Amino acid sequence: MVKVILLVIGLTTFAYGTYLPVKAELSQLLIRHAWHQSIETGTSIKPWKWADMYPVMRLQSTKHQQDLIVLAGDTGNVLAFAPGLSPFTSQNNTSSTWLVSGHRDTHFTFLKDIAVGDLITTTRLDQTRKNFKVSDIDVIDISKQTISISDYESELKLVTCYPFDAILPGGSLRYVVTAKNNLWIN
Amino acid sequence: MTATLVILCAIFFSISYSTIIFKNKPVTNNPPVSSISIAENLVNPINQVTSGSIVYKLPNTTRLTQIALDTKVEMDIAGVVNRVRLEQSFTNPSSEWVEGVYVFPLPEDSAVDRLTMHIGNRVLEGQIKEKEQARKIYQAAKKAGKKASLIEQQRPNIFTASVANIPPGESITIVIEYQQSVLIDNDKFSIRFPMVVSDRYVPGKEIATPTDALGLSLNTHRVTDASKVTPPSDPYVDRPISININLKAGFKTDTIESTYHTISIVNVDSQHKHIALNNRTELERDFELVWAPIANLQPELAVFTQQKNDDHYLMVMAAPVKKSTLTMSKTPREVIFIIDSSGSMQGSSMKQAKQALIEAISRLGKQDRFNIIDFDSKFTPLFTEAMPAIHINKNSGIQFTKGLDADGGTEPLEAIKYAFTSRKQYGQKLLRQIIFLTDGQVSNEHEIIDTVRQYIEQDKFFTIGIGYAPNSYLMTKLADYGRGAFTYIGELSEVHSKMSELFTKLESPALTNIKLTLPTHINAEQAYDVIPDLYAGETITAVFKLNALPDTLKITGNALGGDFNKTIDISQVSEAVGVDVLWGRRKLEKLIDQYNSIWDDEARNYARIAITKLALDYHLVSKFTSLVAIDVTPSRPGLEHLATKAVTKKMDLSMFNPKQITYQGQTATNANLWMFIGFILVLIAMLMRKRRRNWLR
Repeated sequence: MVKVILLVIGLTTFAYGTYLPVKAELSQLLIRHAWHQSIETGTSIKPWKWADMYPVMRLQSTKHQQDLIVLAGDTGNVLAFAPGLSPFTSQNNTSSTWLVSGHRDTHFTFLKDIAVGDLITTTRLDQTRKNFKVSDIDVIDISKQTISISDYESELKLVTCYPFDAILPGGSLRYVVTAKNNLWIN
Repeated sequence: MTATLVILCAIFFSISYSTIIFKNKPVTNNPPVSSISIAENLVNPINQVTSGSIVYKLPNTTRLTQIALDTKVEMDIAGVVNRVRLEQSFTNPSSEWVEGVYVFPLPEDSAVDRLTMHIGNRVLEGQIKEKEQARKIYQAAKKAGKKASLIEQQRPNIFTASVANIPPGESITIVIEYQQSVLIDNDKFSIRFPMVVSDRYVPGKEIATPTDALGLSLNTHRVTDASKVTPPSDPYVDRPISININLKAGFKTDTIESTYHTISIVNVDSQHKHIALNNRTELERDFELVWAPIANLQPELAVFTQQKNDDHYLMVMAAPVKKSTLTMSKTPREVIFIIDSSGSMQGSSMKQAKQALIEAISRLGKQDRFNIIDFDSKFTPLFTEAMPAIHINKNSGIQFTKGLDADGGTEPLEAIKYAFTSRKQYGQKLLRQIIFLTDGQVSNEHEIIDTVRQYIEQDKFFTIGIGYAPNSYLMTKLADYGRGAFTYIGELSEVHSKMSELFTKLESPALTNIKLTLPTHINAEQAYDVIPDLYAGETITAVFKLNALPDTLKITGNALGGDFNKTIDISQVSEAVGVDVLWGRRKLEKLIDQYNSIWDDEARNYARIAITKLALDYHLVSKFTSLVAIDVTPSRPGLEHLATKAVTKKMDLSMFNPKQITYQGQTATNANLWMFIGFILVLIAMLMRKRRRNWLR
């Protein structure tokens, strides 16, 4: 009897674990719909009725076959559904850092394959695009270190947890991918 | 059961721990960029994770092929005319032919009238042409493989030098010459030379921008040429500059000082000095040279003439009113401070601005009223309208100022409008003064100047330029239209003395409605005929073009005590060169000001034609004219590719001070944990089955 209960609980727990990435994938579909509607209507449309977040930019990487919609804010309830833009960095200031966070085991898993020189494209709601080239990849300990945010230089910082396949969440290491927007580099 | 749990826990932690250890190895799935970068950066992977250093860094290959630039500045100051020779050598270290495009600053009143291109021993003289035509000539030469150079004006204080067909491994040197008049304020003579175009804030929505644009910013609907005034910068690039000055002051100098740089001075004779910039520190900030005559020699008047063809040119600089004659005003004032707390003010600039503002508030009297408007991307007034400068209000003003943080964009328009529109009618007449503290790092100067011009009415608008390289064009123009004065503050130690000078100006009435009249038989045209209000210590500068030289000049104006009327003898003149250029430059400024205030397209077109003609006559680079120099023979073989590169400016690291934030995002789900626990539970279930079998046996 104990065995059966254990087995059932075990399988359910396992299934729940595998469901989380699926949920993240599925929610991207709804968010994508909201994104296109936002562009059409020119106002911020929520992905679903009870949602407390809205899409702000699109993040694409051809090499890594990624096409993600980024939501405003980087709290847990946002990141469960999509990568989030830090409220410290405004998407309206086009010559500053854009800090985007994502879960290492869902949307930002691809970061472990990213390499220096890779291109990432962003599109804002007003359809302006920007190309970023990955320039640095750092691992930082957020309990000891800070992340620098520039007001003058256009760059993209993608942050996720590190190591990628650690079992326990909540560690203090972060994987930070910095990509620069240099219109002038030939 | 407990034992099993303990074992499980042990296994669990050892697995998660070993995962971390394992991942401490360098991330091998990233293809190495170059062997050098790996050797440099992948020293100790374990330390890396704990100390958090860089895993990979892109070796900046562009830096190795960047165009090198060497600048030599030679100034000849004779009396109040400064003639400057600016030599720029562009060296191409790459293996391909390049075109270099360099965005550089010049003083806002500089009259650029000569360009020469030096190739070996040959000197090619630049021609002044209408802007579009000059561009076409340059493009044609560039395409034909000829060495060519082009000087264009983007703003009165921002110019672009384009140099085409620099051969691989070779250099092209261009020499730009300009002239300006010396500034006289409070018996001190000074010139400023800006070293760098600071990063400007660009407001508005991005619009279509040419794909070959080299600026950091895209064009916007509010700044349609933003890509031309936002040159890229690089912190590691070397941009050496030397400055040599021949100073013939025309009097015995008491002091000669450089405000922000160290200089060495050689005495040629009592009235002739040679000054050189010593080392190359702090090159990102404006160079300022200040000299003063010995105390009993303070000149009240300087008159220079020049004859060219049939025309005479006359320049008069007069300090008609001494400080003591302008008695302290007792009129109560309403002072509105507008303070810039945008991102570009970060660091020393913000400290200086705060210190200046706190000093200003402390000096207000009980009869005065004041308000503070803080702005970055948005604006915040301290009070909804100006309040009496009593102790409690002054205190909240000081607290408000102390709490300011430099961040966000630079959007001063609404703040300025608020300063004007929060005007109230009181029983007694108040003298209304608006004081704008900023580094002026914006690219929409005209929107701001226009706003002040439209809203000013009887108010006075003063500007305080803060920081290493304030936008002097914006500051001086605002103060001119606002009938106020401008002051520079570049260091914390300067705040007190500079603010005291400003207070003397604020507290004493100005000489207004100033008119200069020459005897009636003289036929004269004054270049810029509107003379700004004169504050204590300031000097009138006027340049005339005339048919004969007069003996006297009458200055009239309104002072607090009544009409001001003074006739001065100008029969004692000294011959000078370059007065004609100053006349042309001032006339040009007048026409440009008119052009900027016209909205009708047809009228604008006429104004444009007049400006172009004047600029061509006086050989001046302007909004509508450029200098272009072309080599005769092509040097680049037709099949060779020509790459266009921006000549980067040196990044001002003191300003470049990124914010540090503590990252708090939790960027992992519990997915792995749930899966792990589930897996363990299933495992236990399996084990239990096995054990039971054992027991059965």
